[in-house]
Amino acid sequence: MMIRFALAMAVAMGACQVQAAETLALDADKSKIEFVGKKTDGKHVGGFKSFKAKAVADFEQPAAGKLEIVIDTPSIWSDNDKLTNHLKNPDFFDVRKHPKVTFTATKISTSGEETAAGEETTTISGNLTMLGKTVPVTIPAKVEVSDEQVQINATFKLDRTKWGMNYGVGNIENDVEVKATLVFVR
Amino acid sequence: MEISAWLVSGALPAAIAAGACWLSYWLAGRGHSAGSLAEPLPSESAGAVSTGEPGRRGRLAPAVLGLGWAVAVAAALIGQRQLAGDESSHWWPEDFWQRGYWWLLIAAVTLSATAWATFAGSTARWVAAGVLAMGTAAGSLPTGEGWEDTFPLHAGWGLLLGSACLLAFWSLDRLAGRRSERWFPLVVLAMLAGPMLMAATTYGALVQWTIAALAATLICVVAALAGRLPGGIGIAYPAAAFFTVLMAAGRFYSYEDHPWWSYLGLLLLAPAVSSVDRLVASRSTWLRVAVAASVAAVLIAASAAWHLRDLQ
Repeated sequence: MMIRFALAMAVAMGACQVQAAETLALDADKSKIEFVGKKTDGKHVGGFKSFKAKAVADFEQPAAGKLEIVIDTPSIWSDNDKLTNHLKNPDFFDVRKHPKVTFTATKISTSGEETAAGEETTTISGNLTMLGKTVPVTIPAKVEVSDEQVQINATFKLDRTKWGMNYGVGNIENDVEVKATLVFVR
Repeated sequence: MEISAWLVSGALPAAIAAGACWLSYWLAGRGHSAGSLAEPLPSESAGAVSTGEPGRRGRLAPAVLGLGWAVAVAAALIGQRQLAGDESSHWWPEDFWQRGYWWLLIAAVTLSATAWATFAGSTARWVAAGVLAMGTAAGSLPTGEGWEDTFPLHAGWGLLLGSACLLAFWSLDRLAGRRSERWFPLVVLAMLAGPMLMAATTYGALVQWTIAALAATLICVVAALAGRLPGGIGIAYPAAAFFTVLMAAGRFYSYEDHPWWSYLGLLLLAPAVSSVDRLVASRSTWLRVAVAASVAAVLIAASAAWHLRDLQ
């Protein structure tokens, strides 16, 4: 999701004054990273209360944008306290041993076309490190740029088993839907 | 769990435990009999394991059983890690609750191997048990950077867990000494089942390991009920150490601020059962079993009710 920030910054070049590179600050109050985990008999919503992001938008060369996101895994929450407790344990995020999840963008590309809502589709590729294992991921994102902020919205799925999160396979779906809204102040 | 997980966590430790039961029975001698479950049994003896004076081979029976029980849970632990298929994993676990295994192994090769001595007549045994209990408790506490916030709790919980472990050693020893060897493995089973319920809400891998211990113990229960477990006391010591590790892991992986007294029912299950049994030791075996089961059920239910509340 942090990658999306970088993409968004790149997209901003069309709408803003030309600036070679612009460092953007995350608006933590307006940003959120949530997920939906599904199981055979229902689903649960959760997310992370604490995360940081560094983004540099290059409005002349979107591909040169940078994005790095660091999530504090102990800040995990869910719609059930017992589940939150379980999610912190080694069955899932093992927050004692792995207190951070990081995403570092390696490539940001834009479609060059804006939707009616003023968003542009961006693809952010990068490395997601979780549970001590780094796996390359590609995230589609919608980027909305204004004079005040850059907002990146992304909804995508991650196969948790790629990071060795194998608890409940067969009962709990491997794919977890991630919804991220990242707002950067310009 | 998938079938392969059940095989590793259930069938494998059960098979190893069955082998240990058979070997223990063979060592004790086929002529040995623990008596009929239905027949009235004499009241508390002087604390001797109720097999009379065992011979040299007979003295090995509890050690073989204890060691077999320890090997059974180790095999399950290693197997579970292989099934998980984590490339970064070593063959032997590194987490604090898994390190506690070595303490139960030590308990098996020391206390189980000297089970014929009993606590009643051996100061050295008390000292060994005390050192083992405190060592197990200390070794069961989480260490490392990620656990720093729990360090202030370690002194109190270490003492509590160590005391509970020592009490479990002693009370199971006393219970087995009251001619209850045909049913006392049921108490061991209950002692492990309670903490497993507590852990079940938070940590699947821990539950899997406990299932392995329960499977191994269940085989011993069956053998004991059939009168084929003369060295049954051998499982008491490694199981009590395992119980201590389990309680520590259950406590520190909970992330919930449960009051310390909510753990007491589980920590004191074995001593409570043994103490109540002392009052009815002269009554029929069936009554003693019923009383022990009632005490265990009440304690487990009280703790489980607290820890499993709000579960959805």
